[in-house]
Amino acid sequence: MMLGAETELLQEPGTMSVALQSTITIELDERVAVAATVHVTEAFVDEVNGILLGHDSTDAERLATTAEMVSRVVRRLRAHASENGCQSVCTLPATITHGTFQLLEAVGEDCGFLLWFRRRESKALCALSLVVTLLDEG
Amino acid sequence: MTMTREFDAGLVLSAFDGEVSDVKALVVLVSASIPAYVADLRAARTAGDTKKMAFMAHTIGGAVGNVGAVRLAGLTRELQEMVRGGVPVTNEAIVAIEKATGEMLTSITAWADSLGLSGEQA
Amino acid sequence: MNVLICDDDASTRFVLRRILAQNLGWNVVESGDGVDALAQLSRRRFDLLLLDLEMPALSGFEVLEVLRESESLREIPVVIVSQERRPEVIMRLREQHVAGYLLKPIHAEQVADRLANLRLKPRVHTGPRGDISNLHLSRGAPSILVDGNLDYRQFFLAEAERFGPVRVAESAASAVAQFRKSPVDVVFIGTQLGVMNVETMVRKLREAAGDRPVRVVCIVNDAKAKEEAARLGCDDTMARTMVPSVFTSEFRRFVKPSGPVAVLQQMLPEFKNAAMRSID
Repeated sequence: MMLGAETELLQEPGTMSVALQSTITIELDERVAVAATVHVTEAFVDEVNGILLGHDSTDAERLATTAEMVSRVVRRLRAHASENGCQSVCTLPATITHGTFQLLEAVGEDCGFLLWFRRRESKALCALSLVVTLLDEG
Repeated sequence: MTMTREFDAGLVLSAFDGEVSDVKALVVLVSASIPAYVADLRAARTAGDTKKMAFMAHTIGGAVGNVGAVRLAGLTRELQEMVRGGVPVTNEAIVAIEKATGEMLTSITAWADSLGLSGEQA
Repeated sequence: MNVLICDDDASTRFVLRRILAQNLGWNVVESGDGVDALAQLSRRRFDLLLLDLEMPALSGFEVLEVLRESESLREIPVVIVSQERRPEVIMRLREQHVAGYLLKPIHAEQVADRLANLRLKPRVHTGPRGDISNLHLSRGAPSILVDGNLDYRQFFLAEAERFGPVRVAESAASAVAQFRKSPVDVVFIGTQLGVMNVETMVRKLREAAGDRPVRVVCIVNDAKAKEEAARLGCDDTMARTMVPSVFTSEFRRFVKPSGPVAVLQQMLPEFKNAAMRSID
């Protein structure tokens, strides 16, 4: 469930043209940084906004919803880190609107994860990428 | 070689190859532990705890064996047999152990001191 | 030889320690009661336990019973040191398979002779699996492969060396010799080992390793061989295959994870699941 929208995890990678993406970077124990990015198609964000707001969304509302999605993900991840005795600090969300839709690139298995979700009803896609870097390696 | 009824200097020296510092360390350990064991034995009799009396007699016997205190070890064995045989442990039996302990400690401490003073190994 | 002396009397422990250390050159640890002795035995490896019978809290008999019921400690040789001479007690001790019985009072030469005559061997390291599951091949930690089949050795090398260096041996004897010369964390045992069989090789490796843990992985063809490998003392198995993708998925279990994701997974093992739950 993401902001009232029923979603399901896809077992196989999909392909999607990203309309918006919002990123928050979390630093864990000053050892690793995880850039968490929510990537949404226009259909996905519009459907979520339709549930949330009850009307067609403006560009500003699309941006706000995408940023809120990644904020929710990061809150959960920070809570998980805290439960495991791990310190975390994070940035504010940085949200990008792609004028022309951009194909989502794969994330190498050694440096992160890419998780695919879709709306149960419409099958509109969104993705969550977690790109991990070691802080002491610069 | 000092061989008295109180302790066996030969046994102690052979255990430590005549190493005076080790002999003295053992004497210190024995001097510290045996009086406490004997006090526990006395307390067990006062409390009428025969099991504890047998246990303490056994412990004393084992400890004084390290210095060859034959007489004291014999007394503790007698006490254990009294307990096993259901014979009441008399005050005299405890007193005999206390007396033998005092004699053993006096004797062995003097001997250990003499080792340090004269440099002899008895 | 690492020996634990358990006796509630300090002077007895002192005498025994002196005899074992000076006359036999053994490493001695002391324990003043049975409870502490069991704790010490569970914490580190001892080759022999010298045990008094009459002790407060937990008697020597009770310590023996606990040891004999313990999976990891039942084989430890135990020598009783006591002034107890009653036949019924001696009989009871025989039932507990004690390695020897030393009567108090302690006589140095007698004790040294009796213990030396037991011909005890340092016990093989059989630490908990947690000890060895952290042992991996990595760029800085080579492993040894022994296999008599040249084709398989070459295939193994080609596939495995991108994860870390592998030293190869054509026979078990050669592998053991290599291990003695320069120990490794992980040893892979294949087939056609020469005159030395798997069981002997595992024993020799562990003897050579001493206190150092070593992860012995047997390369097996089927489930039956897997069971046999466990019986022979191997820690793990991996399927014998010359299909690169299958080999890699099997072999990865013995490779030290590297890279940022591995570090993250070490810090927060459930991180990916937490991320999934945040949306799903």
